[in-house]
Amino acid sequence: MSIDLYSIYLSDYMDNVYKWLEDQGIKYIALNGYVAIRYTIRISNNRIDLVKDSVDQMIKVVLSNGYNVMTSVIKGLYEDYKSVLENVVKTVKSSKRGIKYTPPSNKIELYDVYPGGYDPSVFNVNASIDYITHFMDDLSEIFERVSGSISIKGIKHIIKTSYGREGEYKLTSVLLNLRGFKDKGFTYTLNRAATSLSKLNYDSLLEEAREYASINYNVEHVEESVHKVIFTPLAFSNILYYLGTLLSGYSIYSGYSPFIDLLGEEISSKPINIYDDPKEEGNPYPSLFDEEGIERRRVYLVKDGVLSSYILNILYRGVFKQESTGHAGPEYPYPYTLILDGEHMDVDDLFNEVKEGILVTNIWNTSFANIREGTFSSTQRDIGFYIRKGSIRGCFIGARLNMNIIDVFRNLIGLAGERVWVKPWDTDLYTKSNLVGVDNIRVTTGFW
Amino acid sequence: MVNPNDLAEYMVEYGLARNFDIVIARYQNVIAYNISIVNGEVASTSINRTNGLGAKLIYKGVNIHTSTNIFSFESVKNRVEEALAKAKAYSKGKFRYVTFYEVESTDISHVVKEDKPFIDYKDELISDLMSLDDEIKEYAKIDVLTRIFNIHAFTEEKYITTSEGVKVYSKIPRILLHYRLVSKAGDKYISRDGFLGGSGGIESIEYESLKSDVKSILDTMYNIAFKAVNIEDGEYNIVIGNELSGLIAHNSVGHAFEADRVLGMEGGQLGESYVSKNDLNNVIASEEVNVYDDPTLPSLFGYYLYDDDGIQTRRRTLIKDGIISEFLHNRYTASIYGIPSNGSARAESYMDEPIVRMGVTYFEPGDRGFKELIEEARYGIYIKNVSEWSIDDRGVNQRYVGFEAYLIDGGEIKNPLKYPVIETTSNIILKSVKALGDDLRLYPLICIKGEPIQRIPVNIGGPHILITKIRVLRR
Repeated sequence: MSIDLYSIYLSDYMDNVYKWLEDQGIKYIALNGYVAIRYTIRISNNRIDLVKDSVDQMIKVVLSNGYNVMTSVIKGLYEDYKSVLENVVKTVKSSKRGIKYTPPSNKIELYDVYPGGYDPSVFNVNASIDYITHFMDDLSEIFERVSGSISIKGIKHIIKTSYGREGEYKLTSVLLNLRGFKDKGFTYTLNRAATSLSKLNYDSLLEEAREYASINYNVEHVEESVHKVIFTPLAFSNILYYLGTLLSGYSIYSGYSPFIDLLGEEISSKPINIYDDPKEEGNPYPSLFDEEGIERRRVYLVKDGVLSSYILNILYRGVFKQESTGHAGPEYPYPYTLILDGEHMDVDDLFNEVKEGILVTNIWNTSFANIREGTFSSTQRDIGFYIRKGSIRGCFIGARLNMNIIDVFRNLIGLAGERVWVKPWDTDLYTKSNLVGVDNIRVTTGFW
Repeated sequence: MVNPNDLAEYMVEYGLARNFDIVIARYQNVIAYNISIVNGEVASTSINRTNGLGAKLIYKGVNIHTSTNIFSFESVKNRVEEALAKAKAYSKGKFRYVTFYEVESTDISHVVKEDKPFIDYKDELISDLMSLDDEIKEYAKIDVLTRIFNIHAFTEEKYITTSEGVKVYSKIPRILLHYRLVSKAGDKYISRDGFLGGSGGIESIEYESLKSDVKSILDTMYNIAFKAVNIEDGEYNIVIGNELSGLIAHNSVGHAFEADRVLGMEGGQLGESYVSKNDLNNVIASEEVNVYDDPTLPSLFGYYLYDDDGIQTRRRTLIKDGIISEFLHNRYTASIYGIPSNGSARAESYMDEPIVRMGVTYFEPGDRGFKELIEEARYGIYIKNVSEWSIDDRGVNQRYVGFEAYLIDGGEIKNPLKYPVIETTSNIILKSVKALGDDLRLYPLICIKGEPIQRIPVNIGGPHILITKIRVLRR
């Protein structure tokens, strides 16, 4: 059973739509075409309970006549695209004020992502079913039961613009998200993203599961206190996601981001880097250009601890007098992937530095009490561990971490261990980081 | 052009010919308009159309969902063949055997009318919001730096056809207005988000109600900046407002009563439930508590009459007199319990499998007036609405941070309070209900669940409720 990303129909369809848009007198056109194959194998309580798949084509247009921008996504390529796009064109033509829209004028053609960024072997569903079945069996020896999924995507992205940008690339992406359950609320999530099954590193994941599951202490409700906290890559991904959205030019321009007026300021207590690089080898969601045809590249948002860029598309580059960072997203500039790096410690050194604190393996349900000030809380999702005298001593559930997104980075203790690619269930951003230590986090709980 | 309904019929016909036991095919077409107004200017607009065919197919107990948006008989045939190959492949492994409770054939068409269709009246709505933006600047006693109005209007058209002869056509337009205000006082900022909406046209956005809500937020921002005081940590009697009672109905009851969560089938996603399979008929709340989920209430955001398994929905009694009465089911979970589905299967798009979801979840109102509740609380806190909320993945450990909140002293409302935090559990909060008000207000919400996440329109709500002896913290 093997399929591939192939569509003659989409090319013809795009040609027709592009010509029609040109005939309407639209000044700036970016026309994106996608072919996507997706499937998910979902398991619960040690059983596969669903296999779902889809084969789709879609187009997305980004249009402007010089002010503001209008987008339209059409999934389901009927011949009647005009019924949707006529309204779009009407709005674009009537837009005579707002933010100036000026695409770059140099011609660039972009083809192919990094070697290994597209691996058609992922479309072999039988291999994926075998993979997840073996994983389930191996994890069943470690946990009482396992739930979760493996999700696989193959996407071809084509672009044609009125300002000389065109290109095409293909990607494949695999996301493993398996949650093991032991008794008394002990759960642990194995989460990893890659461009193929073989790059998930089965043995290392199994070892990670064994390591955490073998920590045998009575599960208690967390003690309320102010703690030093070590976040696993999965737990810190949630924070990186919100950091990314709050660094979008839209959230800065609209006035609700806590990072307003901090460009060029030192925002971290450590000389960390936070950047996006969809062309970096190993990125599980590679990309060559954004939906305005701007090349993806390494963009530092934080460089040596200093806030160095916002996330921009063509529209917001005008506001911030910078080049687009290649982040044209669904409607606003949006983080694509994020990588945290910096000087690493040994894991033991980080634990010794923390000495007394907690290790959090997964958080979710992040909710902002005051988004402009950056105050929020996140809820513990999987098992947490007490750190006493630099070693793990005891485990807990029920924690809620009261944080401020600026203080998280101002109170960094350090980074340690291997950096891995993950994507939590409740965000849509792939991130790469290692263990991250943060000081001064107030922990509360509803179990009191 | 091929009629997509014919393709859905073909999916059923071809699926049966290929020996699938059950086929539930769905053509789903969603047209969505998004308009964002930032500080008095239209900042962005988009029009998106998502249409395609999805089908749930059962083959010898193996559960498959397949979908495509390539509209041809060839494409449908390929999807069914692929589904069969996958079913055969995974039937060799450890799979959960799925059966569906039988249903009778039906043929229904259901269309919700828009008094003021969005497409014809959107300029009127934009103009109203621009006027409101001006009014905010005039009314506020505090600098309101950010004023964002996001309009999300979408019409969902579906045709569901099943191998048992069920045929349901529906078309439901919905509109959601999300607004965000950020103000500044000295070097402090205060922010608050709000939602309004329903099914139908722009009449779903009641302008006077929106204006009143926004003015109330502006007054509260001023109070937080200049008048509000912190509360001492401790146990308090609390009168909670409609929005907060709705969040509790949604989090502690609705989600926890979704049968797939109860059965552990969302363990890797939204999570499991603190309620177990055998908890039906057990006491879970004080006897004053009745909670319903009723998607049939007209004009609401979470409104629907037939679910995505093609089953007619109805009012579901989740808690009756404090006792667990019923869980929410799709055909799959219902078959495990050996009962008919109560019509809770919903899918965001043609690409998604219908899973167990809420519609309109609320506490049934009681008989107390608002003043009576405040008097009965004697000393405590009134939390009208919240600025932050979260709950753990079993629906137990929850937190609500008050936005508009006041001290209650001597049975009267006194000075405003600054961000009082309720951090407690579902067990405590449901059993602490002492009295319910006679008012009911429902709020729209986008609820998430599934893999990948499916976003579904729902309502939450309830009356003002007096809960007693609840721990409150300072933020």
